[in-house]
Amino acid sequence: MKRFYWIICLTLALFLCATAFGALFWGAASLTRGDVLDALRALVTGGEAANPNLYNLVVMVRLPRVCLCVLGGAVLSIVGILMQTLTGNPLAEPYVLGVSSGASAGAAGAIVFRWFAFLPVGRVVFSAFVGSFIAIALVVALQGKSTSPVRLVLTDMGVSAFFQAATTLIIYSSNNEAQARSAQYWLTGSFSGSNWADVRVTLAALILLLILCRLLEKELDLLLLGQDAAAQSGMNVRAMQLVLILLSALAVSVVVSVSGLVGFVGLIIPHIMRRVVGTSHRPLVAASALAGGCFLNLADTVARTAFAPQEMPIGVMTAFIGAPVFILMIRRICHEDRG
Amino acid sequence: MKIEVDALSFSVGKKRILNGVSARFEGRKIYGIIGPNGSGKTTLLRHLYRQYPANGHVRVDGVRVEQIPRRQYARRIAVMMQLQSFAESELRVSEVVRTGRYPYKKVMMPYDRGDKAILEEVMRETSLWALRDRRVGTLSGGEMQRVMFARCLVQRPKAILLDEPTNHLDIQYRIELMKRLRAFDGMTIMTLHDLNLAARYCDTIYLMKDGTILAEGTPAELLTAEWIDRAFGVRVDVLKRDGEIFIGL
Repeated sequence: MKRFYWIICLTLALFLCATAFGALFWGAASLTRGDVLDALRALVTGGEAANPNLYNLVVMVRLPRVCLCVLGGAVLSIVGILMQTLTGNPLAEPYVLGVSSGASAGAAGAIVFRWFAFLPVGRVVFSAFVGSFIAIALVVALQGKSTSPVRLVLTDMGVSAFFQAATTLIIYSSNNEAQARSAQYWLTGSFSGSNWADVRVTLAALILLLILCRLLEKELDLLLLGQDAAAQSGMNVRAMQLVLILLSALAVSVVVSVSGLVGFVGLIIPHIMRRVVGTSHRPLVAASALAGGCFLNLADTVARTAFAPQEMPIGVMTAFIGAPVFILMIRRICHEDRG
Repeated sequence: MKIEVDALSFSVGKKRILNGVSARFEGRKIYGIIGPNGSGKTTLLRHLYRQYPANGHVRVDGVRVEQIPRRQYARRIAVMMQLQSFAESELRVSEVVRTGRYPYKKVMMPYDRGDKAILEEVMRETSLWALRDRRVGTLSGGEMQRVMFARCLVQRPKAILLDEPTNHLDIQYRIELMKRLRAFDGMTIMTLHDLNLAARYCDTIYLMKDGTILAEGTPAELLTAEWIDRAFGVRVDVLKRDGEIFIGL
């Protein structure tokens, strides 16, 4: 079993490296293979690049974007797992639950209304965090101990609709055209304009997630048996829920504030990986992080090349793949419900 | 091990579910709580495993249950749950059974070799060792029941509580479970629907009706046509043969 798990992770890691490397060669501006390799050689050796403009394009635009997609995909997949465990429901996911919408409402509010203006740095991320925390807490409170998928989905529709309306309201109440456009960006999701600062924040969020998932894997596995079973085994369920809500809200707010709303990654990837490596959290988190990175990077590569030089929002790509999976999962679960 | 319930009352809204219930569970015995639906038997059991606040009316070995730390409590009293959510169906058998060791671990402390040894011993005992890597979603009702029972055993408790454990089980699995409980070195408290199983396997029976305990006694004393009529309001035939009781509906 262990060997199988290592083979899967190794394969995924190799595939991730290959696709990330490959993604550097595709994009709106057509670069030759030699240009990219030259820029990378200059980056690694610290030497002079043959063409500084091309160097900037590769190292300051394309490379951070690829890194951000890989990291963002990993974070979204792990957050998806945490939310599925928290709600006891395989359909839970940041976007579906309205948590991402909560984060984007918070981010839009920080931009347009200058919420939390007293903070020196990270105002937008903090405001997004507050928004997503409220959204998850609301979902968990409204859901209670029920694991009914129908109830979950309907609750989330309400929460999600509310926060999307709030975001739109905030955007429309802005007098400043540039602000409104920047806030609009939170609703669609895109990795264009990625920079190294975004990469660093997302990397920090991913490392925090991985460490806490490893430390709390025993608790997470127990929660899968349900809140009652966890409480009877001596777990402080409320405290654990709070930790998971805080952690998820933090991770989602980071990803939303660097990329906007990107849905369904946390739904598709854990769903597939559960079939492959099982539900126990140690293998599931590792495999999903790797697979999520591959997936989002591939999706972004398609999004930015399919209609070049026009760019398609990545949220559209992931929804096109994610929504059918979501519908199939509902069908299967409702089928099991009857049987 | 001794569990005492003293004048326990419980209401949901205006509805009184338990009305001054007192009971005493002691030693290595099988206790059955029987009574019609809505008589309060499940509510009583939930007070014993602290799903509902006992407010000083339940004591374990003389200590009020709300004063016992969660993990300490779980080391003494295990609850056999029935799983029905989708969340765990992809877990493997050994991963589900392993969670029974949780009360012995601090937060962030992984399961170690000692836990593994107990796990293997119990899983061999309950013939689950061959199934250890199977996903629990693929198990039959009888196998699943064995998994949840094994989970209780690795908890090494002094008492196991069960709420209608035989509800979804075929007859051969009901009997198998009862035999395993007989072999368990500790106390068993369960709510039961099936009066014949109660007659055959319980040492002591609490007969409940309308939130109160109607009577306490051995199956021979309480599973009579008269008591069953008083609790359930139905006339039944009770046959005795070779000291065994058979209830015909």
